[in-house]
Amino acid sequence: MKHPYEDLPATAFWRTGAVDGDATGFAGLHRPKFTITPDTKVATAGSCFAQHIGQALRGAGIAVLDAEARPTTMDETICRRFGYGLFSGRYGNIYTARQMTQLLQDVAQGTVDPRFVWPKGAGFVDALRPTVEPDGLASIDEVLLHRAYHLERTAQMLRVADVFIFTLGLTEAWEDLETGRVFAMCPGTVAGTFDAASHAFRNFTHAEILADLHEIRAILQRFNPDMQVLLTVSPVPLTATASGDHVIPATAYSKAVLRAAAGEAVIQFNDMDYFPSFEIITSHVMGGPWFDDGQRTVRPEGVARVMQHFLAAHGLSALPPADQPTSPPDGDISDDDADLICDELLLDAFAK
Amino acid sequence: MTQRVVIFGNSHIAALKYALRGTPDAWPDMALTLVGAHREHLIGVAIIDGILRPVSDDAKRNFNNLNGCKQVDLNQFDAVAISGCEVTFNHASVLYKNARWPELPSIVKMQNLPSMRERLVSVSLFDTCLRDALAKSIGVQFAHKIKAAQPDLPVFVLGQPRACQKALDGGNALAVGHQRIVDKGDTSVVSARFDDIATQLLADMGITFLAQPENTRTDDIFTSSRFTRDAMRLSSEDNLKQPQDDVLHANAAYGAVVLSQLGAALVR
Repeated sequence: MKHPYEDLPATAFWRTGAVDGDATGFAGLHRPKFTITPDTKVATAGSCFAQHIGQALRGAGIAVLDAEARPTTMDETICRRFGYGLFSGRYGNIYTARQMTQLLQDVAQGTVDPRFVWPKGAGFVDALRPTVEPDGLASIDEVLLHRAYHLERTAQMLRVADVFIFTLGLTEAWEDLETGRVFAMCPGTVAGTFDAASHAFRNFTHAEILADLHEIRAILQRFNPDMQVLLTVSPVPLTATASGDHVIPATAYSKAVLRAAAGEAVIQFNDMDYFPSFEIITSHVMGGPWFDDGQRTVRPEGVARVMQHFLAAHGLSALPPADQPTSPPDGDISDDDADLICDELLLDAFAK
Repeated sequence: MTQRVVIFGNSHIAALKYALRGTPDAWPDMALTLVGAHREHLIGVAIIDGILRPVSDDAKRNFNNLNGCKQVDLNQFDAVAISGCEVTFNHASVLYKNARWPELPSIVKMQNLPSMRERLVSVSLFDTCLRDALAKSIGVQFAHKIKAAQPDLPVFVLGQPRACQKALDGGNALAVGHQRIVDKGDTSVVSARFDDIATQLLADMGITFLAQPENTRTDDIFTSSRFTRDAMRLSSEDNLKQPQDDVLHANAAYGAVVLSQLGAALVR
């Protein structure tokens, strides 16, 4: 008697697809719905792990858009501290789907809300990207001027983007109760002041994230009706959780919800796809361990492995194979890590 | 009381040298010793127990050829000054090339900033990049090295003169860069920014920056032609003029103004 499992490919079975996967390079791990070519104009956004994707794509000769490219006469390292060259816009880390949705709404409408300016030292920062000006700006007006510029430049970039790669990082965020606005960073951690009466903790549900992904897609396609969206989930664990849970189950919950919401969105829309960077780093059959001694930052070899799969699936190549790491295995990888600007890591300073 | 001052410098020290030669009695309160060195030779020195010596063979040769000495005993001086050595407004001009910030008159007037070809950056980023560029200059590195070795010795940095206005005729990168600032009407703000940042950077190291005297400038970012005409070269050969098309060096008249500025600063 014939049954559906008889005709399934090797990749559908754990033994042949996973256990024996190494022999085949885990063929079929990612079958892109749409292909990225050197002519594709790619935009990136998301959590810190998204910075790797942008860097690797640039290395593969892909046109990764940059709405606010660093002035070429200015030092690259300094400019990275000021949020240049990390993503396709100078929006800093975008950890949640809600944050992404609200940014895109602002970009689409050109909305600059003066309520979201935080004091920092003697100056002020944009509460919605509080780390892109490490020294703050001199006045509220200057913050608003830079934000208006940022939104318009981002809009110009989105109008020409073919593919938008969004790396989902967290389900947890802090929300302004009056407006529903969520922040990249909890008020009071790097700037601003925490007020329990006006700031609330949110741990977004699968349904909320899925709704946000729908909204993200809809807004992006207002900029370019043919825009395709590629979702990834960051394998990087939470630096801290405010959920009340232990950080390990809180991380598992967060990543599971993000992964499920991404998966469902991809089933619903042909122009949305998912790339399994989370699985490549966290699945026990994929080798590793891919995390550094802090068990949070993905080692360069792990990043290289992720991007090797990504590029190969799109018929591209640029990176050396994962077994030839981009830096010596016993070398000081902290220098590489320092290249990533991870706002959430700032929370680590509050650990007792 | 006469103060013993040693002034180190690259090609820009020639303006001081010929000023001193022309009117050796003009600064009776200062006993001046001038030590010139080309290119990066001033950084390639070691200072041990107050004795400053060039390290590499090239630097030794250059020191000896230009100054007839093998070392300088800093213990013999009441103050040190450094002239030129890349502490120049040109760094600001380069950064201005494709970056603008909100305090600039051209930006205040502009209606549609996102359409601007140049990037809108924060003044903080501009300042940080300018500080970085100046910190890497030979003059600041050398001044810092002296201050680290001789913390009690007052150290002054005499900024490199701004380019001559005829630089605009040159068509080179310097001309294009300065012309941009002129065309946009941003000369006074960019010039003041440069002086402020150089002053702050050096003050943080315990060093005094003496900005180019106002009366030697024209249009904020240039040196008046009367202070650049017939500028001389730093050379072991005497009385060697800068070439006709030189736009970077100042003359003995400029050197005299700067020496007076230094004298006044020493009194303070």
